[in-house]
Order: sequence, then structure tokens, then C-alpha cells
Amino acid sequence: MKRFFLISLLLFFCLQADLLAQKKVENQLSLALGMSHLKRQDLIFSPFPHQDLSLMQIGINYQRNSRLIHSIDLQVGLFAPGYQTPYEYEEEGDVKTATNDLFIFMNLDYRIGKYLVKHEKFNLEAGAALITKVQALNYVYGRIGNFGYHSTIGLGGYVNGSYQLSDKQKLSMGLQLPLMSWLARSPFSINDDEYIENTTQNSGIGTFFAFLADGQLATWDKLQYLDFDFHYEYLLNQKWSLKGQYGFSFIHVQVPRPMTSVQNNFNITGTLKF
Amino acid sequence: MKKGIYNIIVISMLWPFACNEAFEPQPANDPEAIFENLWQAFDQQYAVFEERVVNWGELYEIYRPQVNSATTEEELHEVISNLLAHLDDGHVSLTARNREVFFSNKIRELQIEDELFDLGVVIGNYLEEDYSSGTEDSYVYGKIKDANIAYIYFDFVGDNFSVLDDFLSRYDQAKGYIIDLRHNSGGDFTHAFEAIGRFTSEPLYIFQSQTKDGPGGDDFTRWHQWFLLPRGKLVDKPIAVLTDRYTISAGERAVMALDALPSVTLIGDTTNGAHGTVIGRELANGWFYSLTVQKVMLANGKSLEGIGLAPDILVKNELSALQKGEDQVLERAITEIN
Repeated sequence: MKRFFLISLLLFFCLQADLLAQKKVENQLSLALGMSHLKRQDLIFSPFPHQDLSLMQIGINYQRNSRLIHSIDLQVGLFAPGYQTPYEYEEEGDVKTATNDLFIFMNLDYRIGKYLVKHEKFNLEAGAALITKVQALNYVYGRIGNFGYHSTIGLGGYVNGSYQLSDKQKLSMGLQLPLMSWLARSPFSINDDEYIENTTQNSGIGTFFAFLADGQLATWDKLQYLDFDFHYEYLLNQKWSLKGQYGFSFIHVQVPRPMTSVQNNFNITGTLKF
Repeated sequence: MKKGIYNIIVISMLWPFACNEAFEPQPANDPEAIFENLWQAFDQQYAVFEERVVNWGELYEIYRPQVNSATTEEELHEVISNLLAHLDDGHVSLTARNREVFFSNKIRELQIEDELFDLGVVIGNYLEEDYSSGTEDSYVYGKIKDANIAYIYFDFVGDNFSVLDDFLSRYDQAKGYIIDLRHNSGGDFTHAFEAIGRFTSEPLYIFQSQTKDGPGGDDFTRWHQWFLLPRGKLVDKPIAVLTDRYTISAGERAVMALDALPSVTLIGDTTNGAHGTVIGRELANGWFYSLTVQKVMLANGKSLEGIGLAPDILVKNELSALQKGEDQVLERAITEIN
């Protein structure tokens, strides 16, 4: 199964030969800023959902349309979720504050596809997707802080449909989900000796890859996640457009303990076409 | 698989904001549910009932009847504190709004003999003026007055241990070293192991540990062995390591590593006896608690959880002497090295 995953990954990157094709090429670069509501219940850390509405969401997308459609999407978000509002407590005579958690989410997705339907009003594209999520989690329990992580590298598919309302207005909807993923997640008791050994790398990147190496292949029975996107685009001129975007992300995993994460994102996106 | 497909169908069909179906049921916010949640969490994840000689089931029978739907917050806090006190574990605590943190360990809770260590006395009366210190005294090191001995203190176990190399370089002509781990609050023992590698020329097996990886009483990972590995230029001189009842957690693990070295003498008082990794959890009313999820066994096959590491030379400061500026533990260490 692991070999199949690796071969699929290799084939995926081999398809990048299309990047060398010299057909008519359309490029677009987008910058998205927005907010996101997160509700996450992870029984490794707490039986209670932790929630936050964050205004710290940023995304960059590059899309190249030639014979095939290539899209690279990077999103970074910062959350300070909690179960209850922060409160004060005392420790050895000092007044301290039980602060909220701190989560840093990064999504890096690559999609390659083609138009299945290309019409004046309606387009439908579909293809393969490499979906990467890296989530660094700092849970705070008053005087105790525990670091956790959740990372997935998924291979799957995507579909995007768009409808041209007028010359300047377009509606689009998209869905991507993996068929199988490499899952790296905190252990049952938040940390164990393997975790401690990984952190002795004492460098962020080294530790991250060490955590990743301790992961496992996860199919749909163990891990389910999807990303849904809906946006309204208004063409300002030949080069620039503005989008109002809604995105929904869902993660559910059972191992080693159940975790459910629901995220609703609202972005304003500026796009340059060249 | 079925639950996965069910989740996808539910999420696809329901408005994204209403995804409560996908979440696990949560413990209720009432006194009885809170007690049950805490007791069960310990039952499933606390690793050292056996080492601490605690029958958790018996304690349920004693304390559960004291909680009912009319139990006030004050009463609930008292019941839970009394329950946790039986563990006498320096890693177990209860944090509540606008209250002092409750520590299960009697020594920490009552701050017994906490006043018998004063870093200010060490700095003011024993170190030469050109001593070095880290932010908020994360480390303090210098030369002992009128003696060819160098002293270093660590407040916790973290990247502050990286200064050990600077310390050893600066005082490479010293006849011996004092490493003070009194009142060391712990942290990440791997930092200590990295630094202490200067004192050995060969790998030394120090301890092994295993962590809870399931809710059953015997659900543990395999034992994982930890070694002290040689690093850098070997330093082979007499070392006195100072400990007290507040040397805890990674601080104790650092003491375990140092104690394996032939050149080390432990001086002071027995350490706290709380070695395993600690995690935090929360209750429905917003209270937080901490618990130990790991067993640690020394190379000799013994566990000192709940016992602590006894010094080679037992010396305790007297408050009256300390108030006059005399640190008797430190003075004994100086005598031993001289």
C-alpha cells in the first residue's frame, strides 16, 4: 500500500512535463485575505470542542492554464481557540492567566486537471490533487502547555465548476478530497518517547520531518477530509478581478483518538491575470 | 468505514455550520459528571498507580458518594483535591478560576522546606563578582570564592543547559564542579542529556520509559531506552550535584544521568520522585488538571516514582543558618571537592 502511494506520488510529479508545453498559456496570481471560524474537538487533548473566529487568514494561489490546468495554493491561518474564556488563577502567590491555545495551520495544495466541459457559460474541470495540511497545535491548560501536531499528505481528486453570470461576473464551486493519505498525528497521550526523541532534533524542519516519518498510511475508514470552495468573481478589467470566497474544510480521524475539525473561511481575493 | 461514509454524507447534506453530528458526545457540566470525567481520565491515562501504591477504584467508592447534583463548586473542588492528594504526585495539579493551584504532592502544596534554598545567598556570599546569569536566572554560573571550584545552577531543564559548554570552557582549570539542581522545576530532559555528554567517554544506559497508549490498565508503548551519549571534549573531574525535594521531573532525570557517572557525588536531599511525562486536561466547568502518563525505570530495574533519588550525602540547610547567609549544602559540596 505504501509502495502504491509512493508510485502514485511519482506519477503525479511526472505529469509536470506539461509545464514545458508551449500552447497558449494563461496565468493568474491571487492573494486572499480573510477570516475563519474553527471548531475542533480532538480527544487526544480534550473532550470539548475548542473554537475561535480568526481574522488572521492569508492565501496565495498561482494558476496556469495551458493544455492542462495547474494550480498551486498556499494558505496560512492563525487561531487562538479555547473551550472557555481565559481566566485568572494563582500559583505560589502570583496571579496568572489561563490563556487560550495557539494553532498554526498551513495548507499547500497542488492540482492538475483539464476541462471536461468548456462552454461559453459553463465550465467544468476535474483532475488530480495533492493535498497537504500541516497543523501545529499548542494546547494550554492553565500552567501546563502541550504541543501537538496533525499533518496529512493526501492524493486524490478535485472538481471545479463555474458559471458565467455576465461578461464581468462569474460563480464558481469546487471540491477536493483525497483517496488516501499519509497521516502523522500526536500519539494517544500527547507525547511519548518517540515524540520526545523527534523533538531532540531541536530544529523546526528536522522535527517536522521526524514526526512525518512516524506517520501511517490512512484510507477512508480511518481518515476523512474534504475542502469545499464557493466564490463570486467580478472582473474589474482585462487583468484584475476581485472575488468574495467561502470555503469549508472538514477533517475527521479516528486514530489514535477521534478528532473532528470544521472550518468555515471567508476571504476577499484579488487576482491578476497575465 | 461506515462512520466515515456517514460523516461525509451528513456533512454534504447539512449546512456546514450545523456539523454537530460529527462531534463526539461531551461530558456534562454538572458536579457528578465532572467528577466521573476526572476519575475516568485518570483511570485510563494515569500511568503510575502501582508505583504510588494507590487503589484508584477504592478511592472512587470513598469520594463519589460525596458528590451529588447539589454539590457546590467549593465542595467539588475540595472533594477532587482530597481525591488527588492520595496520589501525592508532584506532576498532578488542579487549576481553577480565582483560586490557588492545588498540588497533589504534599511537599509542593504545603511548600515544606521551600525556604531552605536561596539562590540569592549563593550569588551574594559564595560566587565571585564576575558570575554570569541567564534571563530570570535560568542559569547562574561562576567561580566559588577562595576556591578553585566552579559552580553552575539551572532553574529548569531546557535550552539553558547549552551554557554548560561555555561554563566548562571558562573554568577548564577548576579542580572540580558543582552543578546545583535544587528547586529545578524540570522541562525537557533531552537538553540535559545533550549537555551532560561532556562527562562521559562511552554511552551509558540511564533509564527506560513507557507511555500510556490506550485506556486499558496495561496499555503502554514498548519500553524505550535512553542513553547518555558522549559529546565533545571529555571532562573528567569531580562533580558535586546538589538536589532537594523540589528537584522534579526532567530535573530528576538529569540527576539520574549525572548519578551514572563515576565522578559524581549527590549532595543534599532526596528528589521529589515525579519522573514521568505530564500532560494537561480540562473539565467541563473550565478547571484544568495535570497527570502523569509515563513510567520510568532506572537501569538497575528499579522505579523511584513516588520515592525520589536519595543523595550520597544527606545534608539539609537550617533556616537560621541560611538567614545568616550560610548555605550548608553548598559548603559540604565545596568540602567534598576540596
